[in-house]
Amino acid sequence: MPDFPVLPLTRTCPYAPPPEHVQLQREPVARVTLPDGSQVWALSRLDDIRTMLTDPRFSADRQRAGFPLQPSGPRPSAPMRQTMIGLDPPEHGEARRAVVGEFTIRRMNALRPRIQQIVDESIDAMLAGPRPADLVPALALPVPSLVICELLGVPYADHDFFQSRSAKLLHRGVPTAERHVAANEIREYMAELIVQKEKQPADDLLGRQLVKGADREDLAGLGFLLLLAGHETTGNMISLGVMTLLERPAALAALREDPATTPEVVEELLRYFTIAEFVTSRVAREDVEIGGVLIRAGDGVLTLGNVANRDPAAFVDGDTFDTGRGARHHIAFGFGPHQCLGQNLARIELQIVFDTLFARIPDLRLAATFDELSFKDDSTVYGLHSLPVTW
Amino acid sequence: MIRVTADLARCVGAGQCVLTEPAVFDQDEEDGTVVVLDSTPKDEKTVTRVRQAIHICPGRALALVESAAPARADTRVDSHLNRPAVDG
Ligand code: HEM
Ligand code: SF4
Repeated sequence: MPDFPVLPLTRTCPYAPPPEHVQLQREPVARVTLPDGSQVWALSRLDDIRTMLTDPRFSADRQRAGFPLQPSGPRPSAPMRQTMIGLDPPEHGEARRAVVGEFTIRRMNALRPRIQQIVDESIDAMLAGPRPADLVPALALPVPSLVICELLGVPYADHDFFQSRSAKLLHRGVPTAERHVAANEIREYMAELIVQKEKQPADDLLGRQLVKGADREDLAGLGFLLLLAGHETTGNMISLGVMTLLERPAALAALREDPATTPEVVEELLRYFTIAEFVTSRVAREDVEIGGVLIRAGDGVLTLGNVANRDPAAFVDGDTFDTGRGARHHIAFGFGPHQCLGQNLARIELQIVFDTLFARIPDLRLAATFDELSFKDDSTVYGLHSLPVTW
Repeated sequence: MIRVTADLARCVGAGQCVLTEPAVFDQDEEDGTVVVLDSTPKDEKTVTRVRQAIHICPGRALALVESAAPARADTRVDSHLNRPAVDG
């Protein structure tokens, strides 16, 4: 009989999973109690999580009874259709197949010059502003937001509107009511953009989907999903990555010396922080045995991805940040049919940001002590609220 | 002979295989699914990277099979729970 520990979701050290999660390694399929009082299963072995995430008997439907940690963030008030992230087969496959061609490595590489330009302009603006600067609003959030504008074909004149609303949506300092307004404004904007692109065919993601006969409402939902899934996640990895590299001069020097190693640094940062581990939660549709334990239909399952990405059975000395590890079998982007659609875009954004930032501002340094930094301990996606830097 | 197979029905188009070994894997321009460029890689290093790609493929769509008879790469059907023959 498993015991029932209360499961804190917060990390005490930014560089490590919560100690309670680490302890669960001794009981890799454990019954745990969430802060909201609900009981779910917690998986902490990499192999078990990969097995679970590829088993169609587990549902990704976030509205299904039993799904752990129902998202509580601001959503548009009008009901929206499920987007691919909450769909199960066969609908999920259809929805994903319709757009996955937009995210091939070739397509993402073609965006490099434009991403470079966005990064350079954000750094220009930061350098022109006062010191110290907060890297989160100056670089970490605008870069992924502007890249999504680029992807969706948001006209340049609307970038400020889009950027300010999506920043509001994410900022926990902004009152909830205002965040709801921002969510609705983005939704309305998205619908309007689609109408415009119907009138004037455009060679961008939305335009091409329309040509293929995509449903307007589904398309607005997709636009919103891309923003929700790709903005804060990438922003968090930018700020956590900059912090980590500034704290590790040897790793930073190696990255500066040979930009060819940047992809490995990015991969190791993704593994080391595993910021979106709770996004890969599931709920069982049928009774299923995982790791020798029977999970009943209706039970919620939490994936402790950060612990799993240090699983001794899969990673040598996983608690060590080692940019030379070359490990790509982590689950920072999830696993199975829902594995991050934007992963290769995120990789490229992170690579360009790190290469450019440290080359252009060689004396960049933290403008706060490590203890003064404020981490997103209360959020389902881990990150930094702000990152004061100077040069 | 070692042969690389891909089950297109299971491919989720994440491109992890292309990142791992672009000499063997590519993605379809239209639907992002895997295209096997070289189904009989011989070079030792390439085969190692193919094995790595098989291990990290999120759709568990890839496999290496020992066989003499050539077969179409896209006809292999696994039950959804079966792991490819060479996983890990
Ligand atoms: C470092 C940044 C990112 C991280 C850590 C991340 C993480 C994840 C994870 C863990 C999932 C799996 C969800 C699940 O299994 O239920 C996911 C799915 C997804 N991500 Fe990302 N993501 C990032 C960036 C992006 C970007 C830049 C985009 C798009 C512009 C994006 C779009 C999506 C979409 C559309 C899905 C749903 C895919 C599906 O359900 O088939 N993500 N992401
Ligand atoms: S890694 Fe697997 S799922 Fe991804 S494109 Fe290659 S074969 Fe398809």
